[in-house]
Amino acid sequence: MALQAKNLEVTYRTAGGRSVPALTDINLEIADREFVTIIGPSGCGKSTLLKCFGGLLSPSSGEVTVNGQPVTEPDPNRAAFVFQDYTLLPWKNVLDNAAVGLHFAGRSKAECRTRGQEMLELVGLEEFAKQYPRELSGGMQQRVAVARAMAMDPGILLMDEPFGALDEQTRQKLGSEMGRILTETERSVVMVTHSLDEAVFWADRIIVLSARPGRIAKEIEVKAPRPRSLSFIGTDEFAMIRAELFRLLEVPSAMAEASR
Amino acid sequence: MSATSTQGVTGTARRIKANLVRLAALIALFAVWGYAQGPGGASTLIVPKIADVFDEFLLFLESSEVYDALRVTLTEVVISLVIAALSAFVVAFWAARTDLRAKVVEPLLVWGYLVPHVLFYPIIILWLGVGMSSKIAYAASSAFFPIAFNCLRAFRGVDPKYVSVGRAYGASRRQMDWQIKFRASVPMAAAGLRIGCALTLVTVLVAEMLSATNGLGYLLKFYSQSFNTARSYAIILLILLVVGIFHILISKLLPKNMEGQA
Repeated sequence: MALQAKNLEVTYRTAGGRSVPALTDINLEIADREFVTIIGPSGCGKSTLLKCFGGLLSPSSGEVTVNGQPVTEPDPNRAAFVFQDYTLLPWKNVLDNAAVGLHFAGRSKAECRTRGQEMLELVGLEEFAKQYPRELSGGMQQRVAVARAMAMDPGILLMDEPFGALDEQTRQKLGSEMGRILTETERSVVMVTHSLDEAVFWADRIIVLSARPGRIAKEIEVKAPRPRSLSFIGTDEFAMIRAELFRLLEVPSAMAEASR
Repeated sequence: MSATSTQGVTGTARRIKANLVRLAALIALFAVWGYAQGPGGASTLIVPKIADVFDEFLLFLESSEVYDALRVTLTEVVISLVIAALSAFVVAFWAARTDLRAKVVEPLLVWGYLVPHVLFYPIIILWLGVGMSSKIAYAASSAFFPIAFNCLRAFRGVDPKYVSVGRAYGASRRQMDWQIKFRASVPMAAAGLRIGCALTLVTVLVAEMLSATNGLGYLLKFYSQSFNTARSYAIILLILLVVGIFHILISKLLPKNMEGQA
């Protein structure tokens, strides 16, 4: 499913009545089945951009369209979110959490159960269906959140630092598992991250945002075919792109030059 | 799995230890009581003999008087609690719908919570008489405010991340109200209900002691004023038992805190 952002601009109003630009001049197109990572300094509006893509936030001006249809409201069938802090509903068990979108859409109990169970199998948590989120580790909760998104069979998956709250080992393990799932499902994925490695490893294309107000400083294509094995991390392409990202994010003048 | 089971064992050991300490404290209390009564030489008007209190207690349990009083007191508590909880819930739900309503209602609830409701009890007696209805009105009005206040805070303070999940996954307005906002506010609303439960019991007993024709509070006042100290102690013992059972019921029936995802 192709997503398009045209002249997107988001301005926040502070408590004092001042308006602060968060994102400006965002023009972007994401192709069907493309995996795009968004990276940038903290506070640059990465998450804001993702919310605009999913219809959780209306831009101050400009518009987001999916297959030509303007996005005004969230629609989990079109684009489903995986939030940074998982946000499973603590009063529902794992199975009901995975099927919550279907439940809201008014599907039958039996359908919710079957589809939820399928999705839990996909992320390897079928044995935890009756457990509650608080009984699961962070990595497992995030897998449930992925199952919840996949249950909607969305055209686009919007992931906001999905591995951000996890420790390094869990991240890597979960990362390689998710890689299999995300690649097999063949849908567009937009993933916000602050990890250089993640940004390069996953992406067909990396969008680098500049500091506030966020604008697209650079787009970098990663040519290596997906799915990639971990050995991709040892290649020259990976090292070069990672070094480029590092320069953009850590050296202010490089970013300024790129955004000009 | 092995980690949880060892944790379970140490948890049980700790619980047993805590219960032993509690038992020791209880024995110490009876020791002090026994000493004051015997070698201490305290008057039986002030501290009755332990054996007398238990005799009275057993005798008491055989009389119809006590079951009558118990029935009256419990009826008052339950009815006032139901009235307070339902009205508090409706008011809080209504007030939580808009910012303006919440802003107007919340300070009123705080104020109603802080005012000593016993001030109005004489007037309630004038309106409703000394029967059960005055106790119910008094207890319900006392319990209403903390329950309503907590419910309002709970409905207003729903974590926005749950609202985001609801929106992102297509919850309708109704589903958002009941399945996200209401459900997320249950732990805090339940905390208010817990306070309300304790308050109704206290206020009903106090009201019965102030002016009534029946009930455990009434009996306690009656026997203490006729210098039947042993029987007064026996009633206190019974009330403590009732309070204990009541609180166990509350903690079993009210939903546990489901928070804490980590």
